[in-house]
Amino acid sequence: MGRESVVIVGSGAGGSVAAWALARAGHPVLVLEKGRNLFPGLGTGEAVRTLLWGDEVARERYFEQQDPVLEPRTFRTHSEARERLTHSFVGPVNNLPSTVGGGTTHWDAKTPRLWRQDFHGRSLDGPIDGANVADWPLGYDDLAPFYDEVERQLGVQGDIDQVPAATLAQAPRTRAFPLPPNPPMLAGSLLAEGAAQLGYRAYPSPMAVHPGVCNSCGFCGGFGCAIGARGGAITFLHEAMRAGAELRSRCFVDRVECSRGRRRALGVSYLEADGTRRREQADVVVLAASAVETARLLLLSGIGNSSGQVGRNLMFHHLVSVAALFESPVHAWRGPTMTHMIDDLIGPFGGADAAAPDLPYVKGGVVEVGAGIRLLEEAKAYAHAGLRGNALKDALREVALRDHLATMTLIGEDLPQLDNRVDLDPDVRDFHGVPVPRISYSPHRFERAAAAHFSARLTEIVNATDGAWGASPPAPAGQPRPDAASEGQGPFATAHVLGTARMGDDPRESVTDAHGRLHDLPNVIVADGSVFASSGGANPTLTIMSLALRAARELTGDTGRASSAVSDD
Amino acid sequence: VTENELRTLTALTARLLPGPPEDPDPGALEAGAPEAIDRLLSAFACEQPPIHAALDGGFVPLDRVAELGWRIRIEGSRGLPEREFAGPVKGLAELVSDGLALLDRRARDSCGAGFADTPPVDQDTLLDGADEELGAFVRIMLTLTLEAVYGPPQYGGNGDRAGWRPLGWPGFTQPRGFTAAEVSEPDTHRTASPEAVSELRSLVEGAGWQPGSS
Repeated sequence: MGRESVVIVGSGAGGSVAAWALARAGHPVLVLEKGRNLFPGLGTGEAVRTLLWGDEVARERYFEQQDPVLEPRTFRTHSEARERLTHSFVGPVNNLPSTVGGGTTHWDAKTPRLWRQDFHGRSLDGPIDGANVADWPLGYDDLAPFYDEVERQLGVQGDIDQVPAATLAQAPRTRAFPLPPNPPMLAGSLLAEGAAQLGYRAYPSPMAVHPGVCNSCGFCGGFGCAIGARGGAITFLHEAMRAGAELRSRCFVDRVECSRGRRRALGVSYLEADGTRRREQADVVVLAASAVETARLLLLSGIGNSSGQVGRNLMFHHLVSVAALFESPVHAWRGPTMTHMIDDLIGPFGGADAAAPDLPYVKGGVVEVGAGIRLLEEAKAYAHAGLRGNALKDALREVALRDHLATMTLIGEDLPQLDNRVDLDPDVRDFHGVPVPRISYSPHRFERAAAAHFSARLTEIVNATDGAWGASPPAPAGQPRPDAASEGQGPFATAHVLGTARMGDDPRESVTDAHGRLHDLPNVIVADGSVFASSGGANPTLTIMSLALRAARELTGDTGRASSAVSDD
Repeated sequence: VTENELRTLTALTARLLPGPPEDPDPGALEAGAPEAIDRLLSAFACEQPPIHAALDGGFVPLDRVAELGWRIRIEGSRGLPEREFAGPVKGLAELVSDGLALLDRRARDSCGAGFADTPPVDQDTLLDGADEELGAFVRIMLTLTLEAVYGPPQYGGNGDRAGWRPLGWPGFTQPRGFTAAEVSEPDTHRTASPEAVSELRSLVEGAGWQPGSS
């Protein structure tokens, strides 16, 4: 008897890893991706090439992101929802790359692991009023072998001897990083000295950047790597296709088709670029379209939602940024976005310490130390500040923010809330005529308190750094707006989106089980960030990939298989 | 755009990023920004629509879906059902055309001549005193001008790297990249003057950034 056939919706981090594990185990695999393929040679015997490069203009022109003219999203805050406003914004909301390879086509490949405590937030830290804090149905040790295996395939760099003891206690490693660190970036090294004055420890950030191949050109996060020096979804997808998986791009799945009684999925229905409708039968359907689109697809299909939790508990990360302005040039635009990470502000921190008397604790996250800006970004920042003409050109010559600015950015934990959710907009449709996802979101006072607390800590670090002083970009007034993302703070400045089909043991309170299977329809597996029960304070892609690998191995029957038993290519 | 519109557009970009003699470095005109913006606005009259530059020259062809999006963005929905799934859309070409006409009207009202035929000092007065409608248009044009002059030369508005060279901006440096020393050590040949540091402070604070207090 042959292996079960699998259709995978989405070719990003989760879908590509699932395709890799399933195709190599002999499953017939079809990957449907609604975006374009910008990677000539993908899946062939030749090296994968890319049409992406360090182009500061193309990235403003939806080269790899979905085009909001064709596929808008809508947004409203909690208070607008209470006033029964359908939406207050139509356009790009959390606009991730939507091409073959998904978000990893332009990630800066930072790969911190979640901590042990992140899987048990409810038990360890207790509930928080107005938030839907939950434990995960699995723990760090369940995921650790899959972290190891994904790191090895991606090619992750780091230095285990420099990882802080607290991090190793919370995220133990059985082996060293597969690759050594890149040359440290100057601004990061200077800020690390400032941090050390205050007792914090910066260490080489784990990242799927390949030293020796990477030549620190500086067009990293937000850009496709033109020289193949970064691991990502494509790393897995290429091997999956060489093992027999088929990829069809520009195929938009808008429905999971089910048996009568909705006990089994039978396959998917999708639209090609010209609107032609096609169907594909499969024994198993894997949803990996990213948290917003996976929730949309579940809602469009009317499946998986007996708990009423589909689309709810939507989490972004809450970015807290402080700029370090250096008197001398530090060229923070050279290098793989940033090379130093600080874990000392993950928390949790108790009430008095966090100056938040109505909260039992606040949590922060990892701090990315020392990222810079490029020339066009700088010019646009001056324009935003009202400059033009000679004054703008003078600023580019004399102020040269690109040479003097480096940022400290904390990837702040965003608590799940029932009313932070994705549903279907009743009015707005995409170019296929399908209802678009509507995002309803307001931060909890937890995130507001954390932003104030950690902004002050980051500023202390900058001010302890020789020759630097700290400044914060203007905070978004009132409720954050998705169109304020350019200001660099808050939830919409992140490219992280999580939690709309959370995993859990109790089918009344969660959407999937610990292997991503829908409680209602076990031959549908969710293999993206939707399943996160908490956001943690860490870049999520490595965890998305590791969860997808674990879910795929459950299907192939190789559960719990130690990563050493899986051959390297 | 029409010949007359191109004159106005050219004059406007020259005020947004002036070149010699009033500024030491090449400006929008010297870098070829007006022509690059004109090409973008008439993208679909070009053999290769200049939307996404290819590294080795030319432009990445739009596929069917990307072309629909860019036709809507530039040309507008024009009452075509396949472009009006989310309602009518006014295209960038029409927005710019309307904006240039508005700018000319304002120039005639206050200076008695079209914008292109108004002295630079009066052009600046007009732009500085722009109301919301004109200001919104000028912001669009400033963004397009900055992208042309400080974006990759492949788009044609940063000809001979005229925007980058005077600033020492290397742009996309592959296949060279940077050496470990260039990444990890200070550049020995560059330091900042105290005036620049003070200007940096006031500019950042003037833009609404909060000085760090901890």
